[in-house]
Amino acid sequence: MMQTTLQTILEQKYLAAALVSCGIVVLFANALGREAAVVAGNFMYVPTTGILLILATVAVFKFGTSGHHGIAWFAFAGYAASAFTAEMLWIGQEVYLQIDPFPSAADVFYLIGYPFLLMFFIAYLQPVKAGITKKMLAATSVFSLSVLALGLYVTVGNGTDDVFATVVAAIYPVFDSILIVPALIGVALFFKGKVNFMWTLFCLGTICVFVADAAFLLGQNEDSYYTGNPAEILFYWNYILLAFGVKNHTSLFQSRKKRDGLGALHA
Amino acid sequence: MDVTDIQIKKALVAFSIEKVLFGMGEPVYQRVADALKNDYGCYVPDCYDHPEYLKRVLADLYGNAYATIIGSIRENLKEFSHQDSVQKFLVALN
Repeated sequence: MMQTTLQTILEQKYLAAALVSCGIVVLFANALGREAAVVAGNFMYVPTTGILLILATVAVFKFGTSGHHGIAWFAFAGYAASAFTAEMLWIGQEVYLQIDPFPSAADVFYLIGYPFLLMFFIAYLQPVKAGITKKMLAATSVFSLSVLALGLYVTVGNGTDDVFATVVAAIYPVFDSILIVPALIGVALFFKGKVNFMWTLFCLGTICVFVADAAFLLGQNEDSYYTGNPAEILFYWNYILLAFGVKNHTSLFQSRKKRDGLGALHA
Repeated sequence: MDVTDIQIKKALVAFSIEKVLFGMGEPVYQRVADALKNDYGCYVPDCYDHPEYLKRVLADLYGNAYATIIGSIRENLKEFSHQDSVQKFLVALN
């Protein structure tokens, strides 16, 4: 079915509703107390990452593994699976085992997700890489380096005595800043196109993760962080933004009755 | 079946477009073919006569990046660009 303006507007309405309701749930849980916030905060990851994983799997089946888009969606599914596994490990450790989940095996899966997401960006941009100008690359790199400097200042600058935790903490802003470059390039390249909606959401999601990672690491260093605190809303928003981006992209390339384009030759 | 020169060139252009779009992914080709059919009532080989349709569909889908995709199609047709009709198609794609 053709993506109409009405459908895009409706989709944005649902996106706004998802973002707002997620924020309300977290804030309401925080108003009830820290324990309620931890429980609500942990279980909020089940639908957000779960839906993202389902949508990513649908995208893989839709695009297959052929072509640059196919490779891109395969990598994205890897990211979604890593994120889902990481969140489930986090919940298992914090809610059931009641141990501090940072740093832990969950971080391995969070970190594995980054190369997959980078692979997605690179594979998707591969067919249009000739359109990437030096100016574009320079502008996004400057932005990325600024983000990295800020991230490292927040994490390493306020590091604790735990060297391992500080190193793990420092990896996140480095990876975040790397991802921001292709995400911004994609937004610029596909500007005015229908696929730009997905790229904008992915870019906003990447920025949300960066801010949330900085808040998380700062909170960890001050030992004041807990799962489900208001800053964590940005993590949920990232998954929601990505999920709506995938949904929009899959709808855009919705399969229709196959038509043989060469049929006209025989007419 | 008579195969005219025009039909051969249409097939050549269609093949180049398909090669680039399939390189991006089969659903991309299907999406472009569907848009050409629904919006302009034509098939991929008809882009030989109406390259502006292809331009509009790609721009609608990929925004600013459409020019790069067009560039790939041009690259595929480079060795046939000495032929007037193919040259005309390539110029119209600009």
